[in-house]
Amino acid sequence: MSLTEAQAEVVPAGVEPSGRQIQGRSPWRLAFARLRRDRLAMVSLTVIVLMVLFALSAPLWAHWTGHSFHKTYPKTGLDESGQPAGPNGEFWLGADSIGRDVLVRAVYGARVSLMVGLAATALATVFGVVTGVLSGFLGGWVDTVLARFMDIVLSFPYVLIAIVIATTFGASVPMTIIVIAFFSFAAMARVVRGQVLSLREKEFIEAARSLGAGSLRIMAVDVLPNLVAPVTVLASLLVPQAIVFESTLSFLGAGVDPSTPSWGSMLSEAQDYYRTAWWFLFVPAGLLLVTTFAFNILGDGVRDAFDPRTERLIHKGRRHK
Amino acid sequence: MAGKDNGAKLIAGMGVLSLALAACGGGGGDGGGSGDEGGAPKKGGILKIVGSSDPDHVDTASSYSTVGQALSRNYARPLFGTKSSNKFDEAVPLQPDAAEALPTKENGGISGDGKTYTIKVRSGIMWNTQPAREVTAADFVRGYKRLCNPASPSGAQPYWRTTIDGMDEYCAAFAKVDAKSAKAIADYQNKHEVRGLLAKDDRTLVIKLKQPASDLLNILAMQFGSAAPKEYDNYIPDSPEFRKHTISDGPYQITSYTPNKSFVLGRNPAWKAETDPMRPAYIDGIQLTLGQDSPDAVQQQLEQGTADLAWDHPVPTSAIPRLKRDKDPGFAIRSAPSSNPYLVFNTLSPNNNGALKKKEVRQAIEYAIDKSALVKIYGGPDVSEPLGQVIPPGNVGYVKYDAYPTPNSAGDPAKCKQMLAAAGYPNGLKLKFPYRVSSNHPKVAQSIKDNLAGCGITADISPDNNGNFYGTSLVTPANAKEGKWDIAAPGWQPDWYGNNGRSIIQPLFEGRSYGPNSTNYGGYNNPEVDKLIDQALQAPDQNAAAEAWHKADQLIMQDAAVVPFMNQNFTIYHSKRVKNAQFIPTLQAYDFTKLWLAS
Repeated sequence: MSLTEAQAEVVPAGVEPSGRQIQGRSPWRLAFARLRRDRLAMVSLTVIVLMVLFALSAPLWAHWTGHSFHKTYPKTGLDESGQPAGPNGEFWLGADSIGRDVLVRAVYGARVSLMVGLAATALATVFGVVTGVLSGFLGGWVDTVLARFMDIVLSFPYVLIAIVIATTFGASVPMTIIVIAFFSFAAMARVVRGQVLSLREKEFIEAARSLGAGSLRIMAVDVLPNLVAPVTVLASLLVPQAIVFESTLSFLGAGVDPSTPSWGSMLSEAQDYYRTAWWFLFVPAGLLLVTTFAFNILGDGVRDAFDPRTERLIHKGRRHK
Repeated sequence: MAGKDNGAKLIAGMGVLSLALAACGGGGGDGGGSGDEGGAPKKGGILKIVGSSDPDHVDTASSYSTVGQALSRNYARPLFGTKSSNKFDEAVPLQPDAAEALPTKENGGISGDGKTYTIKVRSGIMWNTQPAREVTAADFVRGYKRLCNPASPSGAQPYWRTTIDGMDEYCAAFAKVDAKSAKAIADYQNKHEVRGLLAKDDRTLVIKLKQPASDLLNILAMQFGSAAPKEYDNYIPDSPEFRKHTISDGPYQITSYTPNKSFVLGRNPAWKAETDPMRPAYIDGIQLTLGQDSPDAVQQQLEQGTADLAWDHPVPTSAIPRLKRDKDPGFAIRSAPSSNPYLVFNTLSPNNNGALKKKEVRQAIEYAIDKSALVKIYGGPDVSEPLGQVIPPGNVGYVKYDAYPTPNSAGDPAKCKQMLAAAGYPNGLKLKFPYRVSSNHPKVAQSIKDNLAGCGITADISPDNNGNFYGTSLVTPANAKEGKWDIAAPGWQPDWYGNNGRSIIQPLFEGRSYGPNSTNYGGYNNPEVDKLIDQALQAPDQNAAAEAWHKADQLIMQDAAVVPFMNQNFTIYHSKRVKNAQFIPTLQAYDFTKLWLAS
């Protein structure tokens, strides 16, 4: 039986002296309840949901503005000397350096940035968990090989290697996701490995083994469920890192194809114009800042919710009031 | 030649050119400083230049880019040159460099039939060898022979092969020599002579022509015409080993080179000012730092004075209005008529079932491009104007016309789509489109991609650096034949101005000389154009030549070998401490050897 199941069962369905029945609550329900009380985390979650809705509504924005994200409008988006048009009735958040609509590109860029962030995190989480569990649980030469591999990946000058990989195999959304996942999975794997090293010595694992369970079954049924909390926390913090990583690669020209809008590629294009067309830089930079900040705060909230012993200063401050 | 931003033209009359140039910038400058600051010249200091990437080649035999030749001009000297000047008309006439004088019929340098040139090499020009050794006429013969080397052949070969007697046969056989053996290359060079090249003695070079060529001295004045020391026989031309062992007869020598990172040039101790009428050489050296792809980042360094000149970036479009408004003395729009950039079709590409081999497909794409948008990307009408033909204004053979006119030069995607469907491609095409990551090129690539999308064509754009783009991607015939690219947007700067009839059509469109390092990037081949080139080169006078060049222009545009975008002037900036910055139009750069640095 897994620790989760054991914990669920040892929570007694007692009766208070008053006679009211006390409801048993799983660690998940307890964590969620704590998270709901964290106002900052809830605001962050709302921002993220709004950003996802913003990204999902991209075709609507294109329809409302009448501008497609890849289409150039040099006649109205650029003046005679090639300077981008500022925010106006046609371009609500201004135009970029070749006369494309900054708002429409930003909203489609949200799709790319969020998709890359979430997909790369999912990929890194899957590989990180598999690698970490195999390494920690099987031990021996498997652990030696996998742990050293993680060390090697963690010691890479990752931006440099990522640029080499992206430029060798071509810049594209899938390639960017793979590159980011590759350089993110090792951190996840190391944490998981550490957890598994501790778990495998627990009595319930010994009990499962003595009942004849094989390694694969133990890993899947007994170990994995106990990793959900740390993996969730780490994954929530990986998302903003992946978004910033994508922006960095795109900024350096090694991310997505420059005609594909992403916040990073928009920032890269805007760098020559920040003195003359503030909107060009401000819009993608603002969205990137708000989104990564929201993910980070939410990640902190999730961590606190799963581990109530961790106190954030901001919480302390609030309680002392 | 392939420009930094890039770009070539023939003169229908120098008067026309002068008018055009005067109109675009008051005799060479606009919106800022003239670079003609007075004051006494000051010696010393290191000129700091920053930019994106390596030149295409370091070897003068093969370097065919403005940046490559602007660099080699400091360590390699041809027989003739042009004066650097912010007044365009002053920058056109030839003057002697390593030669004692310009040969003329009057001084006996040119024979009565115009087919033999006798040129005296200036005495006292020294190589920086140990010990220093005098540059001889034989060194120039070696330099010319090396143009046909099989390892890194010169894109300018057609100029030499079509003018100098015996050069064509010499080059044809040279191409079969083992390109991977420095010894085989040197053996062929030293054991075979070109009938029309003779080092009569150490200082006398005799050149015999197939037929009179009034522009021979212009050809010899390009950096390709630099002398080559015998030590170069030890290396495969332009190989990494060669690049480490360049030898100088100019005022500077390469003291350090880290690929795509930096060049350092210091003074050449063997150089003597009295032997060089063109290079006062006030500065002590040049520090060229590479790896900076952002034009704005480079511009900021120039404005703050942490760097002096940009290497392969023009002034960013975003900065032009501000610099003009502020009347910044470091900013100028210099006259350098060019076709820059333009779209070239890989006519050898097997992709899309060989669609680009069909004239009808290329003609359809002619209508797809919004040239007015590209003009804006480069800064608007102050900097450039839409172009509808191969030969830009102000060059021999120019007659204004637009082969594929669209309203306001903004393109006609509907017509493109209709013509593409009529050509058998109703579902469009998918084209591979490498672009340079520096300067305005990413914006140009995205704008063209969008234009092509309007015609139902998907352009798969892929980044490339400037050096690789011109040094490998476009000039390797195997790349073209295997369809590694379909379209590209290089630029073309005329190899010389003035009597420059052959400096556009021949290097860009002569089909019979297509091969490695050819600047006929797309392998365009029309024997009728080749015939018109011959006709123009053998024309009895410039008017007859101009007519033939114009006919060739029309034929090339009928075949839709390229899509000309614009005729462009060059925006340039120098830091406050740079004084006496004088422009070289063919190199789109200030003359490093003529400027000095204020304290």
